[in-house]
Amino acid sequence: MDFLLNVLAIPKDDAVAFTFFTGYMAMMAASVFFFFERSRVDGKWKLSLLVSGLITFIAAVHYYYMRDYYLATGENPTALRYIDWTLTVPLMCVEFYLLTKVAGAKKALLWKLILASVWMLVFGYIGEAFNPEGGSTSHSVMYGVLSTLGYIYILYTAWMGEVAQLAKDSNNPAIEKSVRILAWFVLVGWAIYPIGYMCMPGGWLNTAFGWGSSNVDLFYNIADAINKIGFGLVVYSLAISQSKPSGTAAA
Amino acid sequence: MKKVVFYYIILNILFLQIEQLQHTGLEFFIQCVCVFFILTVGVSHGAIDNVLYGIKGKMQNVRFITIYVLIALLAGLTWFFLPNFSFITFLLISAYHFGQSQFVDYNLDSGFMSRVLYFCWGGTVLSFLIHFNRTELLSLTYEGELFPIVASDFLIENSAIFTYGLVSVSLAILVYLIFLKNISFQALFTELYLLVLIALSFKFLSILLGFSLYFIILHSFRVLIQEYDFLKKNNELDNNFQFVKILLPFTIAAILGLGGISLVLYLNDAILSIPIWALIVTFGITLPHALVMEIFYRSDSYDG
Repeated sequence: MDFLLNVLAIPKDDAVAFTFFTGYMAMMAASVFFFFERSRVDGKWKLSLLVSGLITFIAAVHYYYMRDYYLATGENPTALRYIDWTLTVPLMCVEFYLLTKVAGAKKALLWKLILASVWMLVFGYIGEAFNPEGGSTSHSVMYGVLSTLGYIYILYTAWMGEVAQLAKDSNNPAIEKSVRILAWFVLVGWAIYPIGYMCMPGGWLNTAFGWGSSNVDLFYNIADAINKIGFGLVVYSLAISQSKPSGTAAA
Repeated sequence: MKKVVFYYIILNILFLQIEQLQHTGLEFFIQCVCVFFILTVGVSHGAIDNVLYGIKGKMQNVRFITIYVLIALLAGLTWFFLPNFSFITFLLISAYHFGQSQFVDYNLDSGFMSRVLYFCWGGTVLSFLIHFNRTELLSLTYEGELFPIVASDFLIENSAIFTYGLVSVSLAILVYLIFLKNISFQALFTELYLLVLIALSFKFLSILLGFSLYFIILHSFRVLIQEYDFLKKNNELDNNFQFVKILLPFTIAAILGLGGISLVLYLNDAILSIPIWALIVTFGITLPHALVMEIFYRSDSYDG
């Protein structure tokens, strides 16, 4: 009983702990929503919704552990965070592939996106987890820039490259619109992560503006909630709009 | 998303990280690169004003160039008699020109509202530049020993009011244009995103790098693409090399001219401080170019 009370005690002024709990519940609720709603969409959209549900479910499980880790130690759960991302970010790239598959997207596109996302995460992890004691700006910048190259590739593909072209070729305004919204998520939503990254010791926001390293998790949690749930909702909205109403299907 | 916007976003994301290193050698290298691109891409975007004006034949060309240079010289000379007037006119014309090149491809009608938008959007960019670099600019203006520009001090001190005002009017007009179905929500988001990025760029990057990224990519490169497309559409270009060949003569002439003026100032023990000299020369280049671009964008042959 003491154990539970300790775990659940959230300091009133700890925004990071607050967002860990909120993030956990939001991810779990979104997973339940996507899994249940999966039965309401046409067959070709079921896999997309399953992937959306998996993204939020994997995140929810990691958030469950991360919030405890944070409350117990007061430290950034960097390893858990990157394990979560290593699984969920490639799955977000899978969403791009699934949406554009109707327009003839090839598996090569999927692998290129996955490779870029892994590149982005590996260098981000090295930058963050192997940051020298007290923080090093050159270390943070070097791995930040390397990680950004992966991000730029995904951004290019989503806005101007293969994904954008395939969405255009699909001749389906709903798919085009959804891919465009997802591209906006990559441009704006994913841009929140570097803000968190720059709050770690040695990071620019940390040294120049004194934003403490606890802000790393604050920004990551906000970004995760926006991007993972947002991505899923865009896919869900497309799937529902492209599916026949259940009454029609029964008839 | 247009290619120029994509390049602008990418370069900002990279430079916002690289600038954190605060490495003196690297900063000097970046400054050199900025000056190089301002002198090449920046200057060259106004190097075919005669072609855009629709000049045909040698005599017509000579007359055009004479008038063009006279306007430039006149614009430069007014600084010595009416410095405050020249400064404000320079800002207004630059604001309009920046805004016009930004929105001309939306094919808005040439009514009052779109002109106000040009002024306000371009004005927002300039007010960001002034507002986020107040300290540096204040230290520069006091070096202008030949004539004081009271207006610049006033603008710097009240930059916050100008910034809020111009941003508000620009946004209000953009929202109004959505109601009129002249632009899409997507366009509004893109312009908003760009404004935020320009503000961040001016705030966090050095004044030279921040302005160079805007001026070279979002303005000059964009205008060069418009010019290229225009010439291509009118079958005046066979390949990219030909475009560079058309740009070269006046780009080189302008660079040599700027070099000559710098040399004269240097030999005369700098009767003008560098910032004041830069303002005078930039106004001299901008005024005739902005006039030609206004005529070019409004002509029937340009359809964005």
